[in-house]
Amino acid sequence: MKIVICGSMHHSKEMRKAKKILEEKGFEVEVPKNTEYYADETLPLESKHESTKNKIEGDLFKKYFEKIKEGDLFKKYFEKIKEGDSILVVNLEKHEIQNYIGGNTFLEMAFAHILDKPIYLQNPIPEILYKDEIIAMQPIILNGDLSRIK
Amino acid sequence: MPNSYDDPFKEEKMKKLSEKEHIIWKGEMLKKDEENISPQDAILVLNFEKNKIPNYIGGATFLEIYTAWRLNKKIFFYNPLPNCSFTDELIAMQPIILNGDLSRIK
Repeated sequence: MKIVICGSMHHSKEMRKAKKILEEKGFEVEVPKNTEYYADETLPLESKHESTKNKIEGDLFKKYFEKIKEGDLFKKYFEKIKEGDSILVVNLEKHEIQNYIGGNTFLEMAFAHILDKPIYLQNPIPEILYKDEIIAMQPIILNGDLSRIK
Repeated sequence: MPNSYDDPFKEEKMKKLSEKEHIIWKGEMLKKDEENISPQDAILVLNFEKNKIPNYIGGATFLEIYTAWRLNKKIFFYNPLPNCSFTDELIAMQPIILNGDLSRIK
């Protein structure tokens, strides 16, 4: 059984923790590229492909170049989801939103949904613009209990 | 045209039917994006003000844009990108912003 972990790199430590727990239970686990480095803080925060004001306000060419690279990066992760049996979304507080799910993670969930892969949410669905669509994907909410993943 | 174009209040009807029926219906609608977009060459996103947000895009439209991007289709925006939680992802999909000028679609 292969599980692909999705979520914001702000929560890389929690992603690493979830990976360890699931591997001990015998699952094969995929985490986003560089999770280990972010968790160890050997990569700076600015290098994360995150929605930040700085990026948006930066030089136009640089911004587009970075975005194109980001596009490539998330396309690659979709391939990982295709190869997996299910996804686990690590959704914790971010930007003062409880159980935050960012745009990129939302897209990964949609991709899993289209492929009829079970979607596990570590925590409940956040109050966010695309809440209705997340509900429609019928995720399995674990309320923090990873042992419920089968 | 969008899924509920011929029956614009379909979602409201499904909501009234029951919460469960609505969830199942909406979940299936989300799966239709690929089937709808795959035969096309491009998508045109009509993003106008909604809920007091300029150039608004909702979750379902965001997913349609994503499907178009995944299938390497051209993405046209009638208006500039909205400032929202997924603006970065929209930029990464390299849409063509028309600023209201449909004659720019080639």
